[in-house]
Amino acid sequence: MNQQSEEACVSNDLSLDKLKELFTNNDSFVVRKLMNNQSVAVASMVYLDILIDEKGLNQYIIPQIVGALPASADKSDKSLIDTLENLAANKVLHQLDHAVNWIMNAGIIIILPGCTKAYGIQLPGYETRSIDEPKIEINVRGPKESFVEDLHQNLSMVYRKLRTPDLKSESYIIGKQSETKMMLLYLESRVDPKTLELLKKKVEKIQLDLLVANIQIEELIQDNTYSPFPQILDTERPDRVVSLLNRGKIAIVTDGTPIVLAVPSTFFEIMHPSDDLYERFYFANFLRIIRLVCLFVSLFGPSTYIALTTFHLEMIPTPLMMNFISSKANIPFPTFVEAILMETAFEVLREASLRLPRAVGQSVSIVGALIIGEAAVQSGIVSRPMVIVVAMTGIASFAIPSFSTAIAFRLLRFPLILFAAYCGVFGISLCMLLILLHLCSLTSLGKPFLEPVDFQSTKNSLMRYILLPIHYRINRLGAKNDNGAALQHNRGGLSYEQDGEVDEYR
Amino acid sequence: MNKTGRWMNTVKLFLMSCLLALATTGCSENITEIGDVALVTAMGIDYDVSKKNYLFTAYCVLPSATSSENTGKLMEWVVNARGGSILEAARNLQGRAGKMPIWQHNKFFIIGESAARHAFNEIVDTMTRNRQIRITSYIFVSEGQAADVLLMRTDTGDLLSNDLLGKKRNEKDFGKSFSQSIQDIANWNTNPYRGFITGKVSKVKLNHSGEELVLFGGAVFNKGKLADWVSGEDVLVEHFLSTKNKWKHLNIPVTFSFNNSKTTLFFNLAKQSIRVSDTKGKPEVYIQLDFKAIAGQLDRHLQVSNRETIAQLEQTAAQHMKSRVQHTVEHFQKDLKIDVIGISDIYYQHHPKSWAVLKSHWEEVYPQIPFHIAVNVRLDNLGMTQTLGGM
Repeated sequence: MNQQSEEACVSNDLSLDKLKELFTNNDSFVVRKLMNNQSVAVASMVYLDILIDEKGLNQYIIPQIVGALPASADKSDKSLIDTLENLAANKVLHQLDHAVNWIMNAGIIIILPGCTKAYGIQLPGYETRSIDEPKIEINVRGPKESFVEDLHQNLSMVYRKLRTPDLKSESYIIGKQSETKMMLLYLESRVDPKTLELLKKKVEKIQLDLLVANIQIEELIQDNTYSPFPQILDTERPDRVVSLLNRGKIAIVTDGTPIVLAVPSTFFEIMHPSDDLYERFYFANFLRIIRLVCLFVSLFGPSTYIALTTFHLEMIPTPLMMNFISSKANIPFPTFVEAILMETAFEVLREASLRLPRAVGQSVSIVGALIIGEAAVQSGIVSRPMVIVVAMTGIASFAIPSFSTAIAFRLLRFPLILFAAYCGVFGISLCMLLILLHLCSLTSLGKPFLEPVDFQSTKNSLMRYILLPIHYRINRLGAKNDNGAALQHNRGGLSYEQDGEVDEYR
Repeated sequence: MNKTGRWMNTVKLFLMSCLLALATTGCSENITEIGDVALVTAMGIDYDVSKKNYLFTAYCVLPSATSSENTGKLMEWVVNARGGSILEAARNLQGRAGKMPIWQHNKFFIIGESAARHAFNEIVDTMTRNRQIRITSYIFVSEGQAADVLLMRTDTGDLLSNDLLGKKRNEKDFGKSFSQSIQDIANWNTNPYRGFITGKVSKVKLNHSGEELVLFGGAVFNKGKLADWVSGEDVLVEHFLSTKNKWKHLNIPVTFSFNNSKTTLFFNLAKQSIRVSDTKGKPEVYIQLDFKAIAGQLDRHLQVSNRETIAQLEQTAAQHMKSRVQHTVEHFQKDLKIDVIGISDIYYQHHPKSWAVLKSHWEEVYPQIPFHIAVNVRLDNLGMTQTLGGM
């Protein structure tokens, strides 16, 4: 872009011509000539009327500028320049591409004849969505605000929660056509410089024509593109971003996406929603265990049922077995086909209720559930236990806090069903081993993704998985710039530290 | 090929292998669809001495064969087949069954009296060799044919296997039946020096509705054969003289006479020790039983505040229990001449050298061994009233 740049406003007409040339066939491109009382054009104002607040421009800015307009088009009229410089949010632009950028970002450019620079004023007037309650990560006691599409509003939400100059933000423009702004936020004293460096390199390498949503960035900076598991945490909650920043993570805020990414992230960080911090730690830990259970149910539910009912009948307790036998009577399909049918039906139902308008969507899911649950059983196509297994699996997958991780598990369920139908529990164990190996091999910006699972120390894994009472959690605010070595808090010997690295897995 | 290309190939390979797995799901021969099985929950084995063949009976649970609206209902189905060996009979049974019998859920083996007397070794051998049979399932011996037992309707209308399971579970409050697992029986059956008791199932005539199955008494086995039946009283004492898991939860009421009144106490064995001493190659058995007792029912007023009364009650209870144990031990020793308690095992464990000398003529020695029985009873709980008994 810099190669194309050239001096913009050395001469008024020339630069204006260039701008006009660039914005030909654009109805919203406005050039206003500012006349003095002798009807001589002394300055030109250029903007896109759809982006700026024209009312504000006419009411507050134009009168001020007009008042300061010189009697003649003298290029060294100081009062006009002073006025422009006094106007809020002004910026001096020297190059054509900067000027274009300024215009595209809801700015106004004022070009004086014969001046070597143009003056820019930011006056956004487009409509943005107001800050709303979180839609995905709903909780009971936490803050009730979520990110919006506007980058500045998002930033302000984070800055309001972290009032420290230590919070740094670096911006990048991504997308040749879209020129979307993206920002990296981090706490300088907490962040790992190597990780930051690595991320910056990755971001600089991104070459996109159009950046619509930050999933594109996520795909381009993640270490393993072909893994079904999302390796980067995404959240719509400013409070979660703040606590992540506090743990040394880097937040990636993208204009136009109400979701913020945080790197480097781990599997269990993705699995812990911010609710955990807003409830009593007993309950939070209980939920963490429940979530793990849900994870296993959502992954292994149907496959375990298939394996047990077709290969390992002896593993089912006799009364349960009697129940299964009675409900499986006269069902025409093998258990495997039943499972595939029901799982597919469930996925279709889920997708349908997602796509339909909200009011209809609900009724579709209820009707669908009734059809699948009752009619299928009544007509003897599917057995009752299978309906329960699929329903339980579905519910368990909805209990996984991260939507994208839940999708990964839903996908993996199908190969697991195949393996279970082929070789029973052996197939399931084989799949589980493969999934575990894959998860162990994953990294997020060079950091192990499955942290804190430590196969050499169960205690280490466990202590970093559970949420301790707040007294025993690490409070690193007092330990700035000393890498957490001098912790002030007396934690009664219950704190957990390993290799000088404090537990920050909260 | 660049890295992405290689990765894509791996992904393709994985997806193809998944598709292959889909194709192979039908190939596995180990698949047993749960809808096609007949769940065998009890088995009966009879032996015809004259024809030298076995009658193998399976008590199966099937889903009811009517429309799917009736799902949830199960029906019982008893099928039997004959064969030269148990396995052959079992295979012949497969030909008669419309469904695939699943043996793993079987909990009860009912062995007919004739089979128990003439072919018990073969039966135990088959059971322990077959991996489809759980070695934790129970063996009961039936008076008469086992097939008749399995063909009986239960009084409760429940499935026979459930009924038997319930009866087995009630053993701890009753103590007069003795369920023995295949595992224990297989261990003891090969031992020529000791015998063992297993449960007995018999049909009892009821006044109002035909016959009912009861678990009562026991069958004594020695040298791989049914030797004799024993009464419920003997079985109860055998519980106390067995391993801890047999008496730990046993809480049985015993009625005896105390000061010319009928007294019932609940007895729970707290500590048991059976010791065999060796004096110059002559074994002597010391049995010590410490009971905890709870007052159950007295038909006469009893002053609890008087400690002497309590002491007397305890003493009488101990005396009563001792006489019962003594009676049973003598029956085993003098009448049956079978080492049901396992004295030979204890003797061998503690005095291996003496045992080596003695074992060849153990059968003559055993009936002569002196048994010293000591019983203690401690009355733990008198209930909620300060005075016990009727007015």
